[in-house]
Amino acid sequence: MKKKIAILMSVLLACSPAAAYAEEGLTEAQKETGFTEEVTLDVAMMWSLDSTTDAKSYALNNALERLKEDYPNITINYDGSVHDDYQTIMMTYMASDSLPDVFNVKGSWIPNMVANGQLGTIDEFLEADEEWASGFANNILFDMEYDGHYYGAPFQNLSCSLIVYNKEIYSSVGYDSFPQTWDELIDCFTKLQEAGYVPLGMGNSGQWVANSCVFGALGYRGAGDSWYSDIMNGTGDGFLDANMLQGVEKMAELSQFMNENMNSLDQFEVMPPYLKGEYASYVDGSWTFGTLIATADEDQSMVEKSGVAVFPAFEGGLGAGTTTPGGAAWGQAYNANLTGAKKEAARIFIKYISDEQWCMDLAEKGDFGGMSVDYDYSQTSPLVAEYVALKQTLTDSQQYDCHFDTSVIDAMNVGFQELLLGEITAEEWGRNVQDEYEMTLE
Amino acid sequence: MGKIESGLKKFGSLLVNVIISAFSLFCLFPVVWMLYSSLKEESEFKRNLLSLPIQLHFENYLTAVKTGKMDTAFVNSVLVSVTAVAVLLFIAFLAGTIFGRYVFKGKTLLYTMFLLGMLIPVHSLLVPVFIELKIFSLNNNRFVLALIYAAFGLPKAIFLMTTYASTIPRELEEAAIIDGGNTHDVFFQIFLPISKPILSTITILSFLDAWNEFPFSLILMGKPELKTLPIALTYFTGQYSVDYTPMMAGLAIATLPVVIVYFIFHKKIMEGMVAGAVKG
Repeated sequence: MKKKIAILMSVLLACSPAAAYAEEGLTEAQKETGFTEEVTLDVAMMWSLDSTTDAKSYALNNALERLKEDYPNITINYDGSVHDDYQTIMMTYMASDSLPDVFNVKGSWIPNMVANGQLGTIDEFLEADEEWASGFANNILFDMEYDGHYYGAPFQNLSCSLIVYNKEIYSSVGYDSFPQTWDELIDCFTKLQEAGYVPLGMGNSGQWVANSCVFGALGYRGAGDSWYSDIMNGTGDGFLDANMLQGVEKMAELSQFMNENMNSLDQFEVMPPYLKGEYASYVDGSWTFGTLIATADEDQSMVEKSGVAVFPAFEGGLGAGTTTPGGAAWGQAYNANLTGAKKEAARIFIKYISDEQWCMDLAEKGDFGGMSVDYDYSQTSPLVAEYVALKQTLTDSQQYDCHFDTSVIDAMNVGFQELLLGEITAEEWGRNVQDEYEMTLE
Repeated sequence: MGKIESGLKKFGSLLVNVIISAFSLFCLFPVVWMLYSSLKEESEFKRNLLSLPIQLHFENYLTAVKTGKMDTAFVNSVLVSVTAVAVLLFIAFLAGTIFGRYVFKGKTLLYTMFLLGMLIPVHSLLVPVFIELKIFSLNNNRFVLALIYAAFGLPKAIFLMTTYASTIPRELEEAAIIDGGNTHDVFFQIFLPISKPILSTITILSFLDAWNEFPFSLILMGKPELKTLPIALTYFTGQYSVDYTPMMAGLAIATLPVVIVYFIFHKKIMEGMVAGAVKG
């Protein structure tokens, strides 16, 4: 017995320095989670690591550094491309069933990817880390939900329809604040036009701006809540819905106040004429601030004179005017085939690219992460602070182009270009999109 | 009367020259605009798209190299394009000459099969090629990408080469054989030197295609160190922002080699363009 104890003691003695040594080499985070296995993750995302203008690129670089410090055992093989190209790459990966371990997922991709067994649910990640999970509001997680499960961690909080306007110019035509009703808006735009300004600038060469930033708001103001679920469930009148078409008619009405070259400018190209005072306002999303501030560069006077507002509601419409289409739209997701240590590494990495620090890093650059963070935006610009105050008074409505079928979105986008040029009417637009929509239902 | 006629002629030629000059300026302007915009400051560029730079900002080129990793991408593009062109020239020269000079069983079928390649839109092959290469673990390989470019360029190159080879006088071949030359000599000492103009045309066309190719490079080169220039140029575009002036500098870096290759070959290209036009 004594011999056995002696052997046991000596083994323990021999092990303890080694154990202490091993413990010493670990980081605090590793000690806390006990995750020390060497893992390499293949990651594909829509941001280049070297971009100097992209807030997400800045936050991602910081997240990778934090991960390296906390978990030197996780190696990230990062392949970054830009937004549109990323979608091409992912379509190929999906078609060939060769997705990377961690990637960005778009809300509208989730149903297909889940059906093909390509996308893992983050439900268990959210349950495992309640502190992190509680940072996401329900409306932010909405875009990532499918069939009762969540499939992506939100990394941004977008408001897709905002009007940035020059307060001085508006006040010169008698509007000291942004018009509160549709009639006031039309009256204001008419006066602005008479005074020689372009009342509302828009850069729709990418085709999606008219859909995301204008129809997203006006469609909702016409149709209210139920139309979205009708479209998703294949019920109701679809794109021939009379209430929704009111929103499209209002879009057509607005086109007379927009810049004529709206379909050949992109959303960045409307900023210079706005900053020169040629445009009284322009329509874009919450991503606009960083670029507007950077474009104004040393002369921030025009930005400081700017205010931010949303489209008012109109008579006969079912939706409220205190909404903006918004939410996460995209999320950080992982490959359903991951198991064991790789899955745990993916969980940790996904947390680093969506947590509070990620959101703080974005805030520093005038961008907004998936969680609300305590950050003084007025140090970025008073305009951003005004937006943050406005955002608190608004509720998010659905971002149609994040959820509808891709072919339907394409039909909508092409139709909007024709509608805004006056080539087709709202009803014709509805019929064209309905044809495409019915094909997807079949 | 003569005076009026010669005056009208002069006026006519002046008018034609003015119109042609206007067209030339119209075509040249984007290049000139790209070059001087690459030296502007970002905010200056965004405020006024057409104005000349107030100060010359050569640091845009440094930013371009750093942000877009243009140096690595440049080397990759050169390696891929040169390999693709070399492989393509070798195969197109031999295949085209054989199709143009010899009669053998199944020639029409083989030639038609090559030509059919021109009718297939390459984008439709994106997914199948990706799957195929993935199964054999051949993606992320510059040489494989070069082979794909060579394969896509072959139908056009073989078509051009065949048309050209059929115009070479048979007497030259016969003379070489009478002088004791074998098939190898006929190919490489008779046909090759004569075919220089068309080979130059094929070189420039296929080099341009490989240099500018985007979708296959995007999908097949998953590692940052293997990306080619067209992919690197996209790095200046963020999700919601664009870095225009370094992008212009990047575009200038990407465009110059093509211009240089064109100037080296341009005489031969013009010869090649008209070479197959008149037979005999």
